[in-house]
Amino acid sequence: MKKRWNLILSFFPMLLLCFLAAGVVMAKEEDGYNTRAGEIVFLLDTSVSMNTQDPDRLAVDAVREIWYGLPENWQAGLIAYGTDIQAKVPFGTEAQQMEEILENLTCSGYTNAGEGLRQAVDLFTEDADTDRCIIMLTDGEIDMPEPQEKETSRSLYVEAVTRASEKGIRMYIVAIGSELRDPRMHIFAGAEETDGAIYWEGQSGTLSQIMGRILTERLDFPKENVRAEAGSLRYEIPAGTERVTCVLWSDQPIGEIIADHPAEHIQIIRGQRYAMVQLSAPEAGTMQVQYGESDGAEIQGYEILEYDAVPEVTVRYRTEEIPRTEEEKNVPPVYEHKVDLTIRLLASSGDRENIWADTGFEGKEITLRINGETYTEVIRQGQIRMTLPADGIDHLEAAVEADAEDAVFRMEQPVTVGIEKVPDPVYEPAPDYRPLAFILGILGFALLMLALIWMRKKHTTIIYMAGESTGKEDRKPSEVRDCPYSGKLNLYVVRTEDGRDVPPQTYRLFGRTSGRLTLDQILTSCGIRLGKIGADGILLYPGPDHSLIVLDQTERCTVMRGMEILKKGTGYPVYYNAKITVSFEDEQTELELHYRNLKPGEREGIWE
Amino acid sequence: MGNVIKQTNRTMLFEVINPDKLDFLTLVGDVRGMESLSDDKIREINDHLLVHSFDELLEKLDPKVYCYYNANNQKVAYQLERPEQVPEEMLTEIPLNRQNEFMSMLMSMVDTRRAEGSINVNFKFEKLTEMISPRKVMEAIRQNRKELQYTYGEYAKLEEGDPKKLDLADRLNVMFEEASANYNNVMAMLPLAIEDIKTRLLLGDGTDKKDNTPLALGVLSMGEHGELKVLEAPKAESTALATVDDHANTGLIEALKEDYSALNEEGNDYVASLVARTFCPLASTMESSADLEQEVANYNSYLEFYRESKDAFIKTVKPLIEKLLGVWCFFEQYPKKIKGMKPSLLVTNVPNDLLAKSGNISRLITYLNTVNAKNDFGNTVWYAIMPNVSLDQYSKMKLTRERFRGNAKTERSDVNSVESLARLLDVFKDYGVQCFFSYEADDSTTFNALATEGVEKYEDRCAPLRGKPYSEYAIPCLPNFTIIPKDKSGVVLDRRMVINGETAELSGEKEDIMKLWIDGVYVGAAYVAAGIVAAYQCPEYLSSKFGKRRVDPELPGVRFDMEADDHGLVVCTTMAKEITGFTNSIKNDINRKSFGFVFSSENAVYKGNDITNIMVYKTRNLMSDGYVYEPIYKTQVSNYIERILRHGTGDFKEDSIVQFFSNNPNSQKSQWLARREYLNGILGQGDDIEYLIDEDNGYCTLNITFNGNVKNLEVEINRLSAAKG
Repeated sequence: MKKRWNLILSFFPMLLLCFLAAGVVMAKEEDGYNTRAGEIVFLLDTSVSMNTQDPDRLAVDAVREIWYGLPENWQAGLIAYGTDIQAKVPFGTEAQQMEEILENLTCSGYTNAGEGLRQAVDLFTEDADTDRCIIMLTDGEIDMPEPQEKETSRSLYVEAVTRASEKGIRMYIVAIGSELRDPRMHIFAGAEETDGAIYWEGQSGTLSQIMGRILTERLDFPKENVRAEAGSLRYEIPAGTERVTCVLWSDQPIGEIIADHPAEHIQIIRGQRYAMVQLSAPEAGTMQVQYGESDGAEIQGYEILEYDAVPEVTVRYRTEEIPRTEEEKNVPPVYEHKVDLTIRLLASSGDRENIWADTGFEGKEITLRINGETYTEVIRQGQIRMTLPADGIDHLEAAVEADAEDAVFRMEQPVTVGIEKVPDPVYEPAPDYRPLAFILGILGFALLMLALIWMRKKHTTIIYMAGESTGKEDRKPSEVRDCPYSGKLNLYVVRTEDGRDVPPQTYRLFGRTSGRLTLDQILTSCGIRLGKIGADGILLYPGPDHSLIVLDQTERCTVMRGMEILKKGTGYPVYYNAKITVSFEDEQTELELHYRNLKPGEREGIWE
Repeated sequence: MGNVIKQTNRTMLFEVINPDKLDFLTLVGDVRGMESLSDDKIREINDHLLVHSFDELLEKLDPKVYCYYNANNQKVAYQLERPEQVPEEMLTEIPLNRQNEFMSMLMSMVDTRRAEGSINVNFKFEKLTEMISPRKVMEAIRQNRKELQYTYGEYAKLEEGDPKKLDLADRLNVMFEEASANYNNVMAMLPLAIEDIKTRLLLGDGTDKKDNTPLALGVLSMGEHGELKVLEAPKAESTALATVDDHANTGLIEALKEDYSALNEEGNDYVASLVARTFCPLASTMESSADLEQEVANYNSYLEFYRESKDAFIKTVKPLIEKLLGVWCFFEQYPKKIKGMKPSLLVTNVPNDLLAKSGNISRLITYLNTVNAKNDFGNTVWYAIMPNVSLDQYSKMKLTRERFRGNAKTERSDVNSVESLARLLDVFKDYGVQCFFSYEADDSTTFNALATEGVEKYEDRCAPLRGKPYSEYAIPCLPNFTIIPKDKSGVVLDRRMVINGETAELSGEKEDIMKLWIDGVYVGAAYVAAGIVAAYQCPEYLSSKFGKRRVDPELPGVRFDMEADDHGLVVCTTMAKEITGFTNSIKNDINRKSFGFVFSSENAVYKGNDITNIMVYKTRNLMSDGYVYEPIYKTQVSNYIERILRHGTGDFKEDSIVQFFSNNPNSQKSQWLARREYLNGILGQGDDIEYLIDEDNGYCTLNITFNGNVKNLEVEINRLSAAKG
């Protein structure tokens, strides 16, 4: 459960010197980063002269500034020396204990830097792959009551410098006050010998600024500088961050600090000229730290993002058949075995959010070590996808080299994932489909024949035909199909309801597609308008032997073939030169149809 | 010899002769469901409508005009159709027969002109038109009455029971019948009355010596004062008819009076007496008294009335008279003395617009299906005559029948529309009937008009009939014949009478000449064309013209080509020449297009003899190959061959067709080829016939070659598997 902290610190007295305008400082360009662990020992001169040179105990404040500003994989120790060693804080000392030690330090006696340095060097561990450095804050050369003691201390100092150099411990010497202006002074030899650096208070900035410079320029751990904007600093906190340390320092005393961001735990530490906010398991977002600043104060800051992460590797085993040529069709296939990996980086705690889901990681190249092999892949959509051959392996051991210039990753890796292999498909020779094809062909042909029969049936009209002039009441169904029309019909409207005379017309049947024709269609085609008097119920079909089948399906029309009245619903064949007489439903209109042959010359449509 | 059709000139005349007689439509009757008519029906039709001569036509169809009197305008009215609103007793029927003076005059005119051989411009038409003047009528009657008087005298002398008396009685019956034709017609009596007055008032007129002594005039009064009141209610009032004191004529006078009374139940005594006096000898003593002024007034009144009546009569009957003359001319083409294939004419006696109506045309189809689609060719119709086709090429049929035709419109309303012609032609083509048609006969379609205007006008009029399936059967005939030219159709009846002192005399003033105008009488060319073509179908006719050696005595003249060789000079019409001839440009025009059935009135000499008759110049129908029109004989030969083939092959049996055209000397084709030297050979010189059987379509195509030109004839083969096809 996270708690929202809303901490408001009291105002400090305004000890501000007017420094630079606006309080906006350009961050220094990053010149490298190091995710290795580190050891740092503060060698603090507590001789009596410090009371003069550092009356405000800014040296102690400076120690705190760095102490709290280190990432978790860095350890800090302290040697305070005067004539003798006044305090010795080994690595791993709790902050509270260290605070007490620092609080109780007093400045008295001579300056036995040799002994101090010797013990400081002794504090360092022998751990490999660790950055080591000593930050020495002093205001003068080695000085002992007795010359021999002084010489001894010097010897010790030289010896310690040598040992430090051998251990790779760099010495950063901060000269406090105005006594140490000559760089050829003996005390500075340590910086030279260990490839360290010398900072002069005033010349190199205030102590807090010198500490800031050492932090940002000399101590090589991932961090991201931030810009101060009008009394506030904005820190971007990505998702999945385990710990965030936001540091700021100034050349002037810093006033009230206000920081508000949801996190599991938030702590604000403030010195005279520095301040820092530490958040545990913060939510992703932007944290704004507001501070009370003096006029002209120069504010700088950085943040250290720390992740506790574990790679999540998902594997999917698959087989891929190697394409075969036409000749190899009947040869058993060869499969390639592959495993598709999907790698994400999850936070170790909390909601186990995907750290790479942050947009800052998109497109970033990541070095992976999988089963001892190094791969470089690009994060796409918060994950890395890759495919590896799966032959000969049954598990994957994956580790992510999550080096970053702005964050510290503490990885629980490598992770091992088993590969669940699926047996290759059993090869079955291609079946012989020829019998099936033959059967299907037979079936298809049968279907085709059925379709043809159906089509033929569709174009076949079954008409109940009258008997052949036998006078009997026989009436038998007859199929009429595929018979073409022939001949022509001469139409004579014998009588109309209104007495008008309709000129005789000829309707050419020859050449018409077979099928049903209604008398109404013929009349309409000839431009004879008789109205709805039943012509649409008198049907004509082409019959065999150039006959025309006439079917009366009307209720009240009378149709005659010659002198014979056609029965309703019965087809009657009409041959050439026959006459059909129709009396329509209005009992007025009469029509004669003369069925005539066409000579070949007429069939060519000369007169149409 | 094979098959021969002995009748190839039956002609149908599509005209109305007498609306009161049975007509074609009525006789055919309802043909619903019928495909053909019974033999009885055909015989009945023939009984009523088929004629073989002009006289038979007059007898069967009895053409007449109806006359009644209108009291409102004091005029006489004539009508060709029986006026149904006029009571029978008020109606007078005037028969149009050879005795009718107008008819007689026109027929005489044709005969005279034929005899004289003079052209229109030279012919004295007025000599013949005078025939209808009262004086000529009276002269004719006088001649008749002499014969009547003589015969009756002989009859009276013989004793009862003498066989000779019976013979004379028969003769008297005929004479009385002829004379009685005038009893029914008051108008016919009018010239008698006019001449009667004229005789009495102008006795001696016209002689050098004039006797001014007033005559004791007989009573000639139709009313109290002799005025014409017959129109209102003819009733004898006070009559002072002369009583015949001549006992010799008493019997005849009584017989005439009795006959008149028997025929006219409500006749008046004046007319009865007038009839008696007209037809009995004038030698009888007459006692009469008359008022001179009244008589002169009556005379002028009669004359004026006569003129007006005659004028109305002529205007009414002229269309009918023209038809009758046309029929007469049709039969005149075939000499009476020849006994062979005499042309016969079937008169429809029904208006064409009525016949061509959709409701009626199927009756014609049924009739033709009966007579033309059988293998009995006795009643086959080969030709049709449709005269008086409207010159308006887009003329439509009348929607309703015009029942009351006014005099002024009589002529124009009688024309046949092109639409009805086209409808009928569409039927004719299915039955192989060649139709001779001519345009309405007036002075715009005569030889004179053709000579000046050319044939282009006619060709334009025929445009709607060209390029049609039936064009082959449409034969435009031109020009029409002139019986009396319009400009010479004036008839001088007489002159008005004036009183000069105590005597009456005829006026010498020009305006007192009573004259009427016949307005021209014309005969349609179609009658003559059909007549001459029908005539030369007869082998005897051809023999009479060309000699027996050149004509086969059995074959008809279907292949006879009038245009070939000198045929046109030998086979002439019986019509007299009308003009001096066509100009060369007109003839070139006719020859270039070879259009129509064209008559020519040319000066020609054949074997040293002048030809004074009108000749046939072109015989073409309206079927064209794009350049010239086809001769009509080709169509007829095709029809003839098709009919013979159908008859000879059992309705086109395939094997019989092969036999028909085989090289066997007995085959029909061989027999035809053996007679190609004859003028009337079915296949002439240069002709041939081949056949091609299309097994797939079941058709036999005959390629008939006429002088190198091929004409196709297609017949459907009668196969066993398509017996119904």
